[in-house]
Amino acid sequence: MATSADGRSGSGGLIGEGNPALPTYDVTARKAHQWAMVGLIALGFIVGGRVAAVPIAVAGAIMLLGRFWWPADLVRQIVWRALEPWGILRRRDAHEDHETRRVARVLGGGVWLVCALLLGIGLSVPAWLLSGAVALMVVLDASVDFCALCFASAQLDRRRAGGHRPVSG
Amino acid sequence: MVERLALLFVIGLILIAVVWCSRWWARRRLGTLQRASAETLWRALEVVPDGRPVVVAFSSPSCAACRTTQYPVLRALEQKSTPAPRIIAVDVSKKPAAADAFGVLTVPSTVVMSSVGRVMAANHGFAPVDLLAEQVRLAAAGSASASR
Repeated sequence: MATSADGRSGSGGLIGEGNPALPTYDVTARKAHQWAMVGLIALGFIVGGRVAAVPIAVAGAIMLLGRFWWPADLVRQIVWRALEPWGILRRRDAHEDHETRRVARVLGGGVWLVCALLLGIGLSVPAWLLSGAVALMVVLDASVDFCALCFASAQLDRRRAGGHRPVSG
Repeated sequence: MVERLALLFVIGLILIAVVWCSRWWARRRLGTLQRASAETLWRALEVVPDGRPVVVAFSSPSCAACRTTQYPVLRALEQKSTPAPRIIAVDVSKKPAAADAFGVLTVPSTVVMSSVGRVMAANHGFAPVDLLAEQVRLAAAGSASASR
């Protein structure tokens, strides 16, 4: 039975009750998808100019459309239909946080589509700053499972709490 | 194009350095927690030890991953682990002092302690049930050897 640090326990605690089902996800496909998206952004950066809008728009479209319509999740499709069956990649299933990643995927895909638009109209500096920031978050998640959104929200919560903290001493 | 390739290479090197530093920091933080006195940690949590290994789960009101992913894992852990650990949920927005004492930067975060208050493991971000179960097993073994 869970006990909260507020002294509450059982069904009134933060954790709650119930027999949970723990779904597993293909970590290999997730990481392949993330690195492929970063690769597309890097390709756009290397190519430069307005043509760079194409790989960034493709990455944004795969991120955004693939979240809601699974056939558009191209990299996962390739991993599941070809790379894993052919033995090029080895499937690894694990229970991990996909709720935050789904939100991040929609946000990141949206930002990359906006960046492609900005590049198309010649605003390259804000486009690369924004797309680079999103790519950095993806790299951190893909490499060390670091959730930048979780970090930011935790810091905001603590700042808000700190504002109401009584002064001691 | 060459300049851009070189710039990407430098960014890659910086990222590798950041990852290395974050791992070093995590090891250092665990070492600091292991050296901290058990009494300080219990006081920060505002609980008293009851002889069971402990999993401290840090969360915040805006943490969707805590509610949807980490908490189900903790419920499963209670059912899976023998002995069942004591799970202490800490809302960092209500207990910032506890978060400070454990050096929590992000949520969800979990810290596994033996029944005598020795920190055995600290996990940043989501921790899966198998990992926590293994850490609890080690914490229980650590408690048993400490009580001998």
